[in-house]
Amino acid sequence: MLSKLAEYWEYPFVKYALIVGVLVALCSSLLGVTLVLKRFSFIGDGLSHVAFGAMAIASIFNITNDMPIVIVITVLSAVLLLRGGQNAKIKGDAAVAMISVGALAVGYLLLNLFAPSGNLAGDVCSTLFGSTSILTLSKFDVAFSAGLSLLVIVIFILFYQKIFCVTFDENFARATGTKASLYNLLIAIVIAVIIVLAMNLVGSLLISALVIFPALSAMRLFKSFRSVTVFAAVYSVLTAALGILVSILAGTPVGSTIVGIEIVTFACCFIIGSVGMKKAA
Amino acid sequence: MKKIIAVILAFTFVLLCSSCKGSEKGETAAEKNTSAKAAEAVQTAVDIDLTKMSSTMVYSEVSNIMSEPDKYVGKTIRAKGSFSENEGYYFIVINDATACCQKGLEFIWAGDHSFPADYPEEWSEIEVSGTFESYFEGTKQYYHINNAQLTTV
Repeated sequence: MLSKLAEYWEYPFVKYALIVGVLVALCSSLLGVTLVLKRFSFIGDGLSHVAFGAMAIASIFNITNDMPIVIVITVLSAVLLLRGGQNAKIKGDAAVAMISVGALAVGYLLLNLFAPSGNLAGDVCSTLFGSTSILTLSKFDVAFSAGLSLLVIVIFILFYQKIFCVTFDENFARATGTKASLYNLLIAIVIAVIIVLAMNLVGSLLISALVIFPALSAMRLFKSFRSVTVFAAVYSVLTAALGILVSILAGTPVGSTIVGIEIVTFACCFIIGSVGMKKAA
Repeated sequence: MKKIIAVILAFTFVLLCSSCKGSEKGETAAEKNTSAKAAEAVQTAVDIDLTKMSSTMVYSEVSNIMSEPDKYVGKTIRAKGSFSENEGYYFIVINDATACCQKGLEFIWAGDHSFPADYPEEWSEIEVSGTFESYFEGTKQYYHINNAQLTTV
C-alpha cells in the first residue's frame, strides 16, 4: 500500500487534492459548528444548488474559470437568505428550500437548452457528486482555493469571540453593543465561499455532510464551544485526508468516500458519547 | 483539553488502522491482477501505465493528459477501457469512479486493419499501448496514441 501511495504521490494533482481538500474540510468544519447551532444546517445544501445554477450559467457562456462568478452569485444568495431571514416575508427553511430547488431546476434547464458539451449527463453528475474534480485542479484553482481557505481561517480566528456571541444569543449580543447584523453578513459571505470551495471536493449534493458531520460528531463528545470547534476541525481534516487517500487507492468516488467515512466516525462518536454519558450518570 | 487530545489520538489510531486493513486487501487483489496481466501483456517499455492505477487515478491522469497534452507528447502510454468508433476515428473510452463521466483517447492501431472486420466490437474492453503524439488537421491540433498495439481484454 505504501509503495502504491508513494508512486501516486509523484503526481502533482494528488498533492493539490490533499492540500485543497484538507483546507476546505478545515474551513467547513469551523463554520459548521456555527451553522448547526444557529439551526442553519441545510443552508449548505441550498447554497450549493445556487452554486450549481451559477456554474451552469458560466458554462453556457463558455467561461473556463467559473469560480469567481460562482462565488459572487452564491455570496449574494447567502446574504439574501441569512440577512433577510428575520424580516423577510418568506422565512427560514421555506426560503432555503425555494432558492435551493429553484436554482437546481434553472441550472439544469439552462444546461439542457444551451448544452456546451455533448456529455450533459456527465457534466451534471460531476458537479452534483464531485466525481474527480478535486483531482483535476489547475495550479490557479489550487492557489485560489488555498488563498480563500486561509482567508476564511484568519477571519474565523480574528472574529472568534463575536461569532461565538452571535451564534449563541443574537439578542444578547445586540443588547451588549455587538453589531449582530454585520457579523451575520460576515458569516453569510464566509459560508458562501466555503460552499463554492467544497463543491470541488464532494460535489453540490454532498456538501451538507462536510458542514454538519464534524460539528455533530464533536457535539456528541464535548460540550464547550471551543472544544467542539477544535475537535470538529481535527475530525474534518483527518476524515477528508483519509477519504481522499482511500478513494485514490481503492478507486472509489472521492466525495462519497469522504462522506462514508464521516458517517462511520459519527456512529463511533455517538456510541462513545452515549457510553460516556451513562458512566457520568 | 486533555480529553480533546486523548479523543483525537484515539480517532487517529482507529482511522489509520481501518485504512491499513482496507488497503492490504486491495493490494493483494491488485498484485494478483497485475501478475496475471503481466503474463498476457505486450512486453514493451511504458512511460505511463494507466492499467496499473486505480480508476480514480486513471480518470484524473487522463483529464490531465487532455488539459495539458503537450507535456505528454513523445511518451508511451498504456490504457485499458472501452473501444469506440466515430466517423473513422478510433477511441479508447475511460470511465470515472462514479461511472457518469467518460473521457476518450484517440488511437491509431499499428498495421493494416479495416473497420469493422478487424476491430473489436464497439464498447468491448480493450488495452492499448503506443506513443502519444500530436497531429494537425487543417489549422487545428489534435492528439492521439500512435502506432498502438491493441489487445482485447
